[in-house]
Amino acid sequence: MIRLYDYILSGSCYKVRLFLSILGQDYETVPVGFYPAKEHKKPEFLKLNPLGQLPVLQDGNLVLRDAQAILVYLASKYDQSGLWYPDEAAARGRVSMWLSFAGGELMTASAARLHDVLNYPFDVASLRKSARKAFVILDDHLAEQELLDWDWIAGPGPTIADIACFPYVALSNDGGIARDEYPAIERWLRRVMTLPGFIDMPGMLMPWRGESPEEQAV
Amino acid sequence: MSQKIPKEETQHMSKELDPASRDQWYVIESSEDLRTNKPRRTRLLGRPILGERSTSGTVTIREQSEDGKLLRELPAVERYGYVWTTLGSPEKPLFDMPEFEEDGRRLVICGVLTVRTSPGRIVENFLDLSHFPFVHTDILGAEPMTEVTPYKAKLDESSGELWVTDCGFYQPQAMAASSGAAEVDYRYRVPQPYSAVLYKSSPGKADAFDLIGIFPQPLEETVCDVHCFMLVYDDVSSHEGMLQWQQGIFLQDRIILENQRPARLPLNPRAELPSRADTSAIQYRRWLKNLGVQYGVA
Amino acid sequence: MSETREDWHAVSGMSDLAEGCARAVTLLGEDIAIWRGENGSAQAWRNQCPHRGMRLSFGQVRGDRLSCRYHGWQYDEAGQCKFMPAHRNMIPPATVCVPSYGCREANGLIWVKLEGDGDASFDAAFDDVTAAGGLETGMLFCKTIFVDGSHEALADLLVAACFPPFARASQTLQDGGFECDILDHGRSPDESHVVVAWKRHGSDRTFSTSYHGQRQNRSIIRVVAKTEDDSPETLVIALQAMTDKRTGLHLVASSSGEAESDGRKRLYFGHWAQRLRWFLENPDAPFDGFRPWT
Repeated sequence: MIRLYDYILSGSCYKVRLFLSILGQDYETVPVGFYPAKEHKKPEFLKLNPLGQLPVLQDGNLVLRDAQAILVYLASKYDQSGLWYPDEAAARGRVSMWLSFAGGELMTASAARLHDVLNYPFDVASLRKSARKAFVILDDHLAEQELLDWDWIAGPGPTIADIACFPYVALSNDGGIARDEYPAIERWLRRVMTLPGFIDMPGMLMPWRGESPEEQAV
Repeated sequence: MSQKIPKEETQHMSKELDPASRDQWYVIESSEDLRTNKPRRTRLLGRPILGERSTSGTVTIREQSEDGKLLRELPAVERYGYVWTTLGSPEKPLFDMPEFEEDGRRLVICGVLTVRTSPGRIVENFLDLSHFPFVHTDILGAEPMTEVTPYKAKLDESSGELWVTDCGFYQPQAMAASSGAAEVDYRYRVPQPYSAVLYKSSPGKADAFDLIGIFPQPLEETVCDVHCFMLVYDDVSSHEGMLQWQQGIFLQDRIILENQRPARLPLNPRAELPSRADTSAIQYRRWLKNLGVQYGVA
Repeated sequence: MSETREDWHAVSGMSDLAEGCARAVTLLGEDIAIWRGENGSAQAWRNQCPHRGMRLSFGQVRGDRLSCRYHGWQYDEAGQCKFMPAHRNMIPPATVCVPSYGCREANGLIWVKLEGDGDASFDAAFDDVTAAGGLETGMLFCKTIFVDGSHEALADLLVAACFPPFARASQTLQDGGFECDILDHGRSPDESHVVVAWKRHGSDRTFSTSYHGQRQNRSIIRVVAKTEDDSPETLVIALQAMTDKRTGLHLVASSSGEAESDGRKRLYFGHWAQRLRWFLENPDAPFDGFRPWT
């Protein structure tokens, strides 16, 4: 049974929760006291991941850290379609490029959120500025992709690049970053949120799916 | 060991704060997180304060000037897993929560989460039922079970506290321990304008109540560190499981709270349009107005 | 300035507000919720639910209604509250409604008017602009960029600017390319337009393009590029004065009426807009085709 060391408010852990749900894969959750206990910095956890970070995935004897690496593993091992982490060289290059962006430039939005919600002592003005720069790059890219009839970050179909980039963009409001100036990002977020098997996390606002029967007032 | 503070300065410090805001007890840290060599540097009602624990365990809290000079010592009370203080002279000691004396409950201190809004907006959200299906979808509520049946909100004459009773709501997952949907009874107690506790039917013990409390610490008028606890009957969940469940609920409220305009709670009854489901809010705002609360209100 | 509150201002490309979506825009310091229901027309409302002040831009669009994210109060396109979920059998009082602003869609853009009479004034406001050929029908929304600065300062800058060429003859529009060398640039003797001499990378042929930049009204700049024997190419930049420190620039080009060629044009102007944004953010950078005339 896959085991996920998880914190409910972590966008990085959520990348893995989301992809496992999309894959329809069972797993066991081990909640780790990220806050206020800072369990992930203590010796017991450092044995699992010396970087002291979440998420960590255990599958049999394999122990993996880094949300992006975990997505690569899960797609390679469990995705029957082969579409989430495509084989073809150029596609794989594109996916990797955006996985790095998700674990790199987009993490400024994550840090701004940690500052605003959990009082991490960061220079939040600088983080927000960097995050907005990253968002402009992503918005420009997505708008251009649309003109070429590609609805997803790395190609015509969704890949783990979309999963990796999604959470901290969708949670940007938590870090004081509004998305009024990124209409292409807003369209892409909606496409991600309507993927089969999509699950949300606290702080995410879902579009209406038109499912629930409403008894309207007369 | 208070320093001798010039009279002009004490007048300045207390002059801008209305007594109703100033004379409350506020949590500034959990007991566990105020450790020797780990002081709490924070703000309360716009004033810098410093909380410290000595090697012998005693807690000292002092107000500071903006440039870090230590000013007067403030009262320090350690209770319910928290460290409390006040900038003024509360009429009463810190309110009682007798449930803390009862056996069998587990205490979960949920950690401080910061929200950019006023303490009144936070308390009012805590008292509100009708947002459950929309903000805590498929957890504390679900469409179409959105009807809010009439309930009562009343100032208790002897204690001076606001009580909200006879509330009920259909909840798919009322608490971390819940294994299915239930009709849940709720009561709310507001012992001070900026503190609130709720009592809800416990899924862990029949005919008993779980407590959840919320103590916003206003750093400024529209920025609060929110301290939240749960005192529950739960033999199933891990401590971390319960804690993360409650933190998740709070993050769902946070994006709402940060996007209400104005951030300060409007006390003029004509400023916003309540419905009958907002009975608690109507009484709450009226109470704050009668008390003369000015900090964090519009 | 109170008179600008009575003007129509562009706030978004039409295609940037899809059906079933709501978002916030800022205009002259006002927080506005724009949304589009299943009936297709865009609405612009004060971004505040009358119940508990929740910003409606976070709301859910359900069919032809906007549902507030906090307590699910539903409003129809006229801004009238039609349903309060906490009281399922009650008809909400008529007093529960959201103030709305004038909102019209034309020429690929969504226009909002904060004060004064609504729809009636829209056609009148753009009569003289249309007559001058500024906002023809069938214009193609290309991209919006956002920059720091007041719209006044940006308007002055854009009217007098020298741009890299956008012209059919250059083939730049055909393949979305942008590579050309500016050989010379100058103001015409009568100061009415800017003339640029340029050539394509990898080609010896020289072109000359004249840019006629005109301020159509307070917030619309129209630039017509005429390259030799080509028919003129029009670019319209509609400025959105968000605050006095931030401005949105909505770029609209003329449509060829043919989807594939329009697609290439959007791609071209998308890149062009990114370059313009870079130039506006780096005003001290050496000239590379974008330059205000001083």
